[in-house]
Amino acid sequence: MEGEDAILFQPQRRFCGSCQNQVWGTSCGCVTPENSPYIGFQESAVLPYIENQKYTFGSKYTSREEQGEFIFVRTNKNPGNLAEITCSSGNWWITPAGEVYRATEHQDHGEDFNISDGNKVDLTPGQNYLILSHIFSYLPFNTLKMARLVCTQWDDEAARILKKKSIVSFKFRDWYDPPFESTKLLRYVKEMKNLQPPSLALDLPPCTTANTKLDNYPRTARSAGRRIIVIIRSNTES
Amino acid sequence: MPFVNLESSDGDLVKVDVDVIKCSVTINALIEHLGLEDDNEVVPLQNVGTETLHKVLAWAKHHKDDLPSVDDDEDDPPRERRTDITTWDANFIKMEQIQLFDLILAANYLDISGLLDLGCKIVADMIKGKTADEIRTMFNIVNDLTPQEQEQIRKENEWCEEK
Repeated sequence: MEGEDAILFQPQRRFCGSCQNQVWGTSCGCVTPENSPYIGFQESAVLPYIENQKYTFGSKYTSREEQGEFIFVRTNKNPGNLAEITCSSGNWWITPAGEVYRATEHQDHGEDFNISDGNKVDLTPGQNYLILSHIFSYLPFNTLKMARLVCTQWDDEAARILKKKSIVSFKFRDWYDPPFESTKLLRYVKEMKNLQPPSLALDLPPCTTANTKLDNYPRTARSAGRRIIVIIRSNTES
Repeated sequence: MPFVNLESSDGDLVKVDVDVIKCSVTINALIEHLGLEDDNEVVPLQNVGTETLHKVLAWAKHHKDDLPSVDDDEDDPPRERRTDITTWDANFIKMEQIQLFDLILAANYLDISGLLDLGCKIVADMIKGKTADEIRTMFNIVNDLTPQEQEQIRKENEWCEEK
């Protein structure tokens, strides 16, 4: 690397807004390196393209002749070389576990590379992560939902934007309908695996007039995080 | 007036007024940091063909006196506004889909935000109202979602309302 002999990558202690807790890196699971590559890590670096340069990721250094530039990765799962990257003919050739992949330009977000058997990659704006993100910023809400059904890459990107624009509402105000709304809440927890929007709108029942303090509370609460705590006081406390 | 020679991926040389191509962050950085002071210096553009390069330059020439755009958050809802395409741009961008895609890739490579915005708005318009199958055909994308994953996405979509 230019100007530096080594860069230490290590998880960063940070406050996770979703968990409301201090966590190391992305260990809480609320963000992943795929959808938020710059969250939770102290440093990042770009491997420069140098013709015929080889980079090796691994836990054991042997020699520069054999491994080229060596990037140490602390791991117990697979001691030895985890991956090799070779720059050749304008491409990055990635070899993890004996399989060869070709990574195209601008695809530096983890797994966002196209797998190729050596033929020319037919790259369109719809397969380029950065351009895709730009195009999606102009799509209306319902088209973003449709975009999720195109392929995995489109699903990941559209879901990321939808999360910010979405809200899920629960209406607990109707006294004649409480079992249905409670069931709905259980169904939500079960069905919503990959797209929990950060905003929930809870339409709460009206407060009793016996508690005048509570009566001044707004009847609809919106949460900033994913967790809402509702404190219910009995009338006898007042 | 300073000029720079751009070499397309087809090997053709195009002499360009530096003032015209200053909208390209990539070329601007090359000129500034590499000190291309000699008019005979050549900047190779490996990812831009001659035809696309001429289109890029036509757009850049028309917009060379524009004020620099202000960067904003790509996910902001106001970015959905469609009213900021000028008549000139609308006529300029009328081209075959393959040429449009090449132009967007070139705008991205050369880092020309105004041209990239224009191309992406047009592609977003092309996506609107299409089914997932039609979108896949348009972009030459293989569906790698399993039926179970698609069902999961449909369920999740049902929950979400727009803020």
